Amino acid sequence: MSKLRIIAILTILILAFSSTITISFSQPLSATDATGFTLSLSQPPNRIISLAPGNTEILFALGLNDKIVGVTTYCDEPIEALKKEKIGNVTEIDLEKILTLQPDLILASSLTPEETVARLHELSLPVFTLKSDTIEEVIEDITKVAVLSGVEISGSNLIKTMKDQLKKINDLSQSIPDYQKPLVFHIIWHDPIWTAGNSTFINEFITLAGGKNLAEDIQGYSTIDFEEILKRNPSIITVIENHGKNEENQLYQFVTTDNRLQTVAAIKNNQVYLIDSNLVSRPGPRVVSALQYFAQIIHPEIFGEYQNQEINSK
Amino acid sequence: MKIIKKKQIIIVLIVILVLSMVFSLGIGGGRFQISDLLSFLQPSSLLPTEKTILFEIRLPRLILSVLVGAALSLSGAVLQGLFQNPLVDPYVLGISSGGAVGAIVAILSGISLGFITLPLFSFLFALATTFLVLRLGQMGHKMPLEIMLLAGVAIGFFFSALISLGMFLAGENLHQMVFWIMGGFWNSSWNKVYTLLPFFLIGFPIIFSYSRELNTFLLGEKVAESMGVEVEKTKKILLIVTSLLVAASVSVSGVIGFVGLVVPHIIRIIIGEDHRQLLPASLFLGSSVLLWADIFSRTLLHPVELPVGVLTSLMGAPFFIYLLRRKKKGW
Amino acid sequence: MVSFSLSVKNLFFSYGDRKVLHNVNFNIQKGDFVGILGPNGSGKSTLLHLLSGLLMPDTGSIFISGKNTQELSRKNWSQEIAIVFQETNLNLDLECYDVIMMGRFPHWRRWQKENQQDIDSVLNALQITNTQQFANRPFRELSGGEKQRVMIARALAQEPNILLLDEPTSHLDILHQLDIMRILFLLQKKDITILGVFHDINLVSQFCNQVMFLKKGVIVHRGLVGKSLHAPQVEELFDVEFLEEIHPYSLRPFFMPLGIVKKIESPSASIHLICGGGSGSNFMKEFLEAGFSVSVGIVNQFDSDQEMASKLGIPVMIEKPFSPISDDNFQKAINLAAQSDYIFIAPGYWGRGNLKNLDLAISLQERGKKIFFLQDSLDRNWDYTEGLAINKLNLLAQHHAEVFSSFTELIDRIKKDCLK
Repeated sequence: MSKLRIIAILTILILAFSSTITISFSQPLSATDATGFTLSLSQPPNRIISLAPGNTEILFALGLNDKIVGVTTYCDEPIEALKKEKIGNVTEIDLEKILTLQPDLILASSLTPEETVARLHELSLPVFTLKSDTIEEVIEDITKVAVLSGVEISGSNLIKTMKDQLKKINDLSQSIPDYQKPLVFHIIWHDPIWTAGNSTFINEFITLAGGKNLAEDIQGYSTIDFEEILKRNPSIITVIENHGKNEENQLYQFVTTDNRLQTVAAIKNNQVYLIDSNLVSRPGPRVVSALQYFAQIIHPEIFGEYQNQEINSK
Repeated sequence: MKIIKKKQIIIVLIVILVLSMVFSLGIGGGRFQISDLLSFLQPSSLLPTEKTILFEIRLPRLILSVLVGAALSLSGAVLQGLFQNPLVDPYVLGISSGGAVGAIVAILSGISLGFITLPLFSFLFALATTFLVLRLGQMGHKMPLEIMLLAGVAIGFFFSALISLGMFLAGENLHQMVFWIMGGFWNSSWNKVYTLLPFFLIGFPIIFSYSRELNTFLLGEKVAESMGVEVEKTKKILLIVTSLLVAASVSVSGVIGFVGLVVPHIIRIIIGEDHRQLLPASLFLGSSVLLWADIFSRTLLHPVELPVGVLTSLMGAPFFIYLLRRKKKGW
Repeated sequence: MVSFSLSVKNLFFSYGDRKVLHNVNFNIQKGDFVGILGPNGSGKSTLLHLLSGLLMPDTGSIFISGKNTQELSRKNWSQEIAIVFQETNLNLDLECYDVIMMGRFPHWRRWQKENQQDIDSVLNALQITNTQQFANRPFRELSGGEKQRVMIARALAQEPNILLLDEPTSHLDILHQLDIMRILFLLQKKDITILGVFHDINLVSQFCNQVMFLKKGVIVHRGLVGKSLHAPQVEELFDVEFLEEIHPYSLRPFFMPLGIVKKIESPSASIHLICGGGSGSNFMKEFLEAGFSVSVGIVNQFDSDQEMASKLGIPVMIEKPFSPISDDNFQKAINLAAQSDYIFIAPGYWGRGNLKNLDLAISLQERGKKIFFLQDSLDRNWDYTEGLAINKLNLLAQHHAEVFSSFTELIDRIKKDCLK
């Protein structure tokens, strides 16, 4: 584990360094996206369209809200995003609408269908794909957006804050010995039981927060044998909370009341926590906050008590 | 084949089922562990976690897969006998599409009545679909089965379109819908077993009591009626009972295909068409087949669980092709 | 008061607007074997469906063994009546024993097991239908005729008082047809009432004791085979001409349809045929087929030409057997022949007995009738009257009788005349 940590820290330092180089050496607004495509803009964009809620959050966080001319139906954070023009959802995109909006920058995501991105390229529209699997990559993406939009200076505050916070959490948790890392089970749905294995953000959150992911031997998002949960006996369970779906959170009810889970340590010790689903599933400016929450859940003695508004109001 | 031999085969099937059930109790962690099995005999010596695993997870799950396998293959055999058509499966009257639409409606509407929400919606929709098809297929006092088949197909198509629409609108709930439709026993609990049990306890004896009527259907509806069989009443009762069984099964475990279609045919090749043996044999073989499919779904990619419906189709399709090529009988 | 096995009163039935059965009434006694005959679409099959309860009449009642069928449950009805249908090309794997055992269904309650009575009944049915050797064989391995026998066994297992059969032999070869008829015939002895729809008149005439004619939904005739089944009734039923014979072995009527010869409504010509000893039979047929009407004379009784003419329903002047032609009959023959357009003398032997027929021709010629005969007639070998016959023929020829070298010429000549 410590080797990984070293590599992680080094990567962060190198990236931080290289991004400064990028900023100082390239005069025109230019960046290369996850698909290897390099976009160069002659001037900062004034009409930006976001094709994913995470991207929308990034734009708002970088202070580019006035430049946003189109968002998806899922873009609900911050609240002002709801007032923006809609160009479809994350997978079904209204190309005509996009054309009429005359964007000079389009931010696609890993969820945008490849054909759509290809089509946008064909139509000679400036589309830039953000695709990240780790927190560091998210920060990198935010940096690229800042560069492309010509707000590196004002954006650098956000980026620095994120990097600092990340480093702080990392430093604190790397000193935790293995035996003090609690086993965490993150449950996304109960019918079937759906969890996050390795190569997911959740996994990174749990790991960087000083915990162990119960499902770390499973690849990606997947089902898991019920028995394994009981056998591995997690000490903490994090539960996804959907917005406005049900009056009572069905998943939370299941976790806390199903009689088969009663023997699990997390249930017995009342270590079941609600986490906002958008928070942990959007590659955006809040990823480090998400990490912070996980850190508070897993090691409150180091990071402070986890305060979830929803739980408190119940 | 003499009747003694047929009964022997049925006994063999029962033995296989019982052994499989016992065996599956020992399946955990992706493999068979004899220790698990032995610990069943001494429950008091178990840790609470182990006890929960055996009695709250494994036992209800295996019972549920056995019951559903029995319900599906029995219903398949009955419907094939009623319709005198080898391509008929338990979902011929649109039950599976109806159940799926019910589940989708429950998911999309966000209505929550607790854990019974999904099963309840799917059960009600499944039943409603069936009665719609029965009504459409009815002409006066009679139920011409060819018309009913067509009605079932038409409704099935329509509902499939609804299912696609539902998936399109699903957004983040897509996974849940897809998994429900694929069918599986992941969330088997004693609650589900208790809800299903009355259907089976009442439905199975009723169906068996009509074994001889189903035999007369082999001679054609006209001949059957002339021999004293109340053909329309028989059709009605059997259609209703099988619909209840299948709707109940679909509501707890999604759409599991092929078991209801293929198992009766396998039995026909081994034992023959006499429903007095065909029905119980299909029931026992179907239970074992689904039990084993569930065992594989739990062990092939442990700790990831595969949907059982996918496994049964994968197992069933090549077997069905094999059956077609054999094509011994006029079926 | 004789209680009938089956009694039908005022039965009406239609498929929607199409009337199928109209005011059908009949009674059948126990042990009768009734054959139902009729052309296609006369409602025979429908009648059986109504009797077995597969269809419900619009109005009217059916009484089985005195009980009104409206008060019978489905099971009880099937205990009284069993029906066998036309064809079974079913591919059943079940053993024949099991198939026959299914016929016991109306005697079972829901969970009742098979008992000794059931087994006895099946064994009995196997024996009557002579199908014991098939008992353990799969039904689909049997031939059509064998399958039908098993189906009858199935019906017999119901232990019905009445057995209905809907064209049970239509698709079978002659061997199996007769097999089945014999089985039915023997069943009659066991006091089972049998009602069968048959397409073959002769099966009915040979085996049934009663016959019922159904035409366009109405019973047009009903009665014992000996009394009611004869050529005139059959011809009226089917609109086809039949030749009726007595079957030499069974001594029952036997019917042969006269090919394509139809009743000649308006013959184009009429011919009087002078023949005898079989010489005229072929010409009678040829004339009828050509569309002419025929009369024959004078022939002796039991002469083969006489019998043919009688069977064909042709007017014929008959003389007592082995007797010379009387003056009285001679005069009658002239009167008969005078009504024809032409007189034809068939080539044949002439002897003292029939020489007078040539005089008949001469008298008719004197009355202005056209006489025809063939060249063959002038062959001396036919003449056993020491030349008298040939002389008479030459006389006829001298007085403008026409002599033809072939019969076809003659026919053509007459047809040409008709066109004028």
